[in-house]
Amino acid sequence: MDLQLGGQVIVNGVVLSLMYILLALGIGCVFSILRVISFAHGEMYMLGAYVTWMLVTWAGMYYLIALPLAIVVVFLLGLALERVLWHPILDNPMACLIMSLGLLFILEGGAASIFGEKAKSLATQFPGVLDMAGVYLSVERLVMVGISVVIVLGVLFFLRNHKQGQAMRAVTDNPEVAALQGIPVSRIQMIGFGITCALAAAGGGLVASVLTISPTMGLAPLFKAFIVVVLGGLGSIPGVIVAGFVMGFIDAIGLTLIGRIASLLGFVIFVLVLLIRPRGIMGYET
Amino acid sequence: MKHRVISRKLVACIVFLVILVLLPIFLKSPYELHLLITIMTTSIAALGFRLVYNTGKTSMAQGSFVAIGAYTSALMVIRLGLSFWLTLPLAGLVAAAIGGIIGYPALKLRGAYFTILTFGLAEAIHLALLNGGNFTGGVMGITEIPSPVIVLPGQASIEFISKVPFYYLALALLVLTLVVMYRLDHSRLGRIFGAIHDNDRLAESLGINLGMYTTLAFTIACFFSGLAGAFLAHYVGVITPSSYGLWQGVYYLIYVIVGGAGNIFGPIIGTAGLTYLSRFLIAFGRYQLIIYGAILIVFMMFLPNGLLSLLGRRPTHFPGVDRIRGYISRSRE
Repeated sequence: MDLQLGGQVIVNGVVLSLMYILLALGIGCVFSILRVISFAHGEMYMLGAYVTWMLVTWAGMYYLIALPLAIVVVFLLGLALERVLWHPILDNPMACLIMSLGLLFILEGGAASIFGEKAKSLATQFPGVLDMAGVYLSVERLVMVGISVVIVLGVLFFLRNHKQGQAMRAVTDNPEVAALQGIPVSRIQMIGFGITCALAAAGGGLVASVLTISPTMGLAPLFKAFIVVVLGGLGSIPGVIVAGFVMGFIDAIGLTLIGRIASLLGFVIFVLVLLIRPRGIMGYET
Repeated sequence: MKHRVISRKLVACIVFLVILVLLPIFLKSPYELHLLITIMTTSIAALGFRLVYNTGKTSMAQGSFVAIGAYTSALMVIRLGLSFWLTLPLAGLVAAAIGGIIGYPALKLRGAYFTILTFGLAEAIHLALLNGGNFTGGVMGITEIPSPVIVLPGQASIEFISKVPFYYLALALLVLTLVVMYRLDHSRLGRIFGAIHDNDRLAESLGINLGMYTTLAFTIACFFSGLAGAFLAHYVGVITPSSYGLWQGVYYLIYVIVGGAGNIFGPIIGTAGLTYLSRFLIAFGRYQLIIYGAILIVFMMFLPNGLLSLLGRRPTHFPGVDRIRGYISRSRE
């Protein structure tokens, strides 16, 4: 493998990893906070991409303004969805799972009937190629990586240092004890759900600038993100980040070297890790 | 008193069965028959899903075991020249064997870990079928799978050309599945499964071998998935890697939960209800997916335990365990 190819693979690996991490962080947090698996999460990713696309193409906004706006829109939608749909039936995880499938159908069907099945794409937002010691990297991907890193670090900082984030971790550990400490559990759950939707939307909005967007774009990353969450260990944020990089690089290296069958490699590694270590790389709850 | 209730149920079942047996005489439309065949075969796999679900595990890979059954039967008939009547049970056994081998280590995982492992499993099986080269036929799958033939004594034979013989075969398989599932539910084994579903740790403390019994349930479920797959391969005549897989498995979950997992008729009611709903929604064109999703959401908001809960059936096997479990979790927290 020459230097040029190696550089490309590394950049692709980092980009894929960060997408998986953004989605998987959200799915992991939803599971920790609400104790449910949500299938609708990939659709938040799809919505983030479409809202960004609409704001840029229809409203003629600058990409760097459209992206945060799209994130806020999906965040607010997430708050509403948690209140109206999830909250009344939180005590029945299986009903929540079926409901999230229903929401997936609605959003996918809705996007298909509004925007059509055809894939769309944004014009290149950050043209140009950077020459770093013989390795050519597109500026667009670097900007994307930069923004995702900032978002992931922001989430880590929020959960670690911010009062609301600490309350969220308390709710994750034990909702009853958290409530005894005066933490408004129900409100924290709503905000937590909104934030996870916003994370997925950020992933979608970022991807909109480099890949094509379509109503079904949320499905494949959703399943990958499920696997990343479990590989990292449910409830462990460092685990998600490690597992995200593992899966992202397996996909990037495998696709370049051995082609389509590479995705099988990722699943095999996933199954092996779980069989040897059932709680994932860094999970601590069963 | 109790005896009379059971016999009344039996009479209702027999009446329903007679109606189903006589139906092809009155129902001339091949499309209606096709729908019924689809419902019956889907119900077989959904009943398998329910068995696993009732041991407290949610498997999303049941659709992939349908695919394994379908490929096994199709390949055996085409490559080895075996009779369909031999490959039908063999396909079930192969699916069961694969299910057992994968299930034993996988079922050690708890809750969401197992569910998401089965996602990976479904995807891995899909990729394996897709990349199987000449053996599985790649993306194109296997085409021109021969229809079954019953050779009668003398020169006569029944060839499965129209939908009617397929209908009766599907009905026979469904009745077989129902009888097995009913016997399982009302045996010592069924009560062990129920105990594991209600509280696996408590069941283990009573000396129930969790690994063995959950693997057994998973293996039986995979057998019936394989059986349904073998039937479908010869009924449809074509099988591709994307015919049955992850989404099929997700639909089994929807059917079972919407119908209700407490009773063996729940999965059948769920499958029939939602299949006819999709058929009705075709009239709405591109909005059908949206309406289907909205109906699912409304269902889960108002009937989270499934259609059967309308009849006042409890979803759990042992109502007492709920109370005990509630007490334990309260005292722990």
